[in-house]
Amino acid sequence: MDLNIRDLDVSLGARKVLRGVSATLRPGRVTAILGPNGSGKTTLVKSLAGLIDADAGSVGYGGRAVPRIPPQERARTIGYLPQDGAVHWNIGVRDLVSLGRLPHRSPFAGPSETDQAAVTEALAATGTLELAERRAEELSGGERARVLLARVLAGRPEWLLADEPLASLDPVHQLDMLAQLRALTASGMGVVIVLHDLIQAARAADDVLLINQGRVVAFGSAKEALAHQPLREAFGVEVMMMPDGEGNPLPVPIGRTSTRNP
Amino acid sequence: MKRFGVIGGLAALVALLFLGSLMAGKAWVPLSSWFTPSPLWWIVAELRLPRAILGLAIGSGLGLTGAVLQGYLRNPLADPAVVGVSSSAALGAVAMIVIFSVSTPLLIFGGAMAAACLSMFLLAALAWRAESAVAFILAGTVLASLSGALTAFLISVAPNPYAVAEIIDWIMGSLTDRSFAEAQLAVPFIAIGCGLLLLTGRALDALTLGEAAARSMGVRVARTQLLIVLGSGLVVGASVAVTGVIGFVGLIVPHLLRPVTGARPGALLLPSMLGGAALVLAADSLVRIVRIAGEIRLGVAMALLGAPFFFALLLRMRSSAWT
Repeated sequence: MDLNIRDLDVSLGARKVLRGVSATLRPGRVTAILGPNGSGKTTLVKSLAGLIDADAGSVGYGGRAVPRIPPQERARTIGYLPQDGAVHWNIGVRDLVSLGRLPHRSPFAGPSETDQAAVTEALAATGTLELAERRAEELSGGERARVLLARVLAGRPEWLLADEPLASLDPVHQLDMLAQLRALTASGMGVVIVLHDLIQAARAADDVLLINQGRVVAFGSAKEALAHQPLREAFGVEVMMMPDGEGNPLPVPIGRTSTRNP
Repeated sequence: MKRFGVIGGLAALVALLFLGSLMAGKAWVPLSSWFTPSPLWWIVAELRLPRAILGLAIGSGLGLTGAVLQGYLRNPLADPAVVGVSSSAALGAVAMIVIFSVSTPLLIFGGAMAAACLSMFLLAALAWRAESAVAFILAGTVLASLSGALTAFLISVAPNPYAVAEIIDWIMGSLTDRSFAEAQLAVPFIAIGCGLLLLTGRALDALTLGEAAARSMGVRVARTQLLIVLGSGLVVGASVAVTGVIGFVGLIVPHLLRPVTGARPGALLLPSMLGGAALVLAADSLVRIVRIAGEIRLGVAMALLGAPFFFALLLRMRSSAWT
């Protein structure tokens, strides 16, 4: 089912972070959220996950406001991969990925066979099966990112919201991660990713939501949203369109827009 | 299976130490003297049994509270003193001694529990609003400092030297001469507190990935915080109320057990309960056997054991990626 954002206003303390954001995100597609630093991307993703209450407007799923859905039910539907990638204790990889099954387990029950199968499946899908017996401290940055993704996938959510999943990854691991996220949409999962890199967004996203200062600058197909004018408005940069191997245009930033910084 | 082995092993250890605690002391009472009309059996039944029961309950409670707080605050240095409840309870007890110039157990218990409850509700109100571990730890630290200062003030205005002696004697923390009456007062509160704390295991596991991730996994962080405030308040309040301040149990036990049980916070709760009981029973038996100018206070013995441990921990943490 769609995630419907309607006239969303969100404040953090006294600061208004999102203003009148509207968009309909569709499952089975990769939607990238892009914008300059401090434009409200993380706040928007947390609002989509139901972790922040809105001042006005709503994020709706199946006719219900996401923050009003009971937490466990919401957790089974919407998986959230935070930006910091923190693992505070040196727990085993399998234990870590098993955390993704918490919303599915009844109180006091141990993991069921379904839970164990989902964990193994998630480890296999992220290529981390061979890491299962290691501990969190023994993982490299790329391995840890994949294991944390496996944690979310183990919950088999309908939506995956990933806040800057490429941060702290080298180019090879960035490409792997993007391919992995794209592959998830084949099963109908909706994938929302916060990105910084225009080129990565152009390559990986079906749809792009471009925001600046908490307002939507453009929302549409990657081709429409990552065009000269919207990027000028959102980032204040001029881009040159370079074709990739298949002839798709990739926006390469070449300088500041002169009116913004004369 | 390994987990059940650890729990079974610890339970057996606690049972042995409980028996040992009944036998050990100035007079060694072998099993052969038990259930006989001899005065030795009277020592066991009337003097050592309530002491051992209290040691078991308080050790379990403090060990569990330490494991829960470390898990919740995601900080291996947290212990029950962090929430400020133990110093608040101590303040309540000292206030009773100063105001009424007496030290009847019921009055001290009432004062300590009332103060513990008050500090607990202050923390709970704040926890409910802030939903953040940092706010929780800050509030606990402020409460601890305030209670410490007020306790010092009360000592300075104590009406007579006997009251001062009484306070100092009590603050040092001990299980000496505790009766069934005190065990009856404290054990139910500690049991309820432990029950509440044991409900937090899954939430603590999820919090390993941070608050936002835990909430996205369906954890009600505010509810978890409330369970922790109430649970640790009941355990620590009732413990301090009958024995004075016994520190370090909550700090040491989870650390000793983590290499055995693994670091997952939820898997550490039951073992820490048993480990805490084992540690307090062992230490209390030891202070009765090793006598230097009379019996060493349990609180003092724990500090002597705990302080070097704490330093070793800090030194190890400097070289660790988990700081």
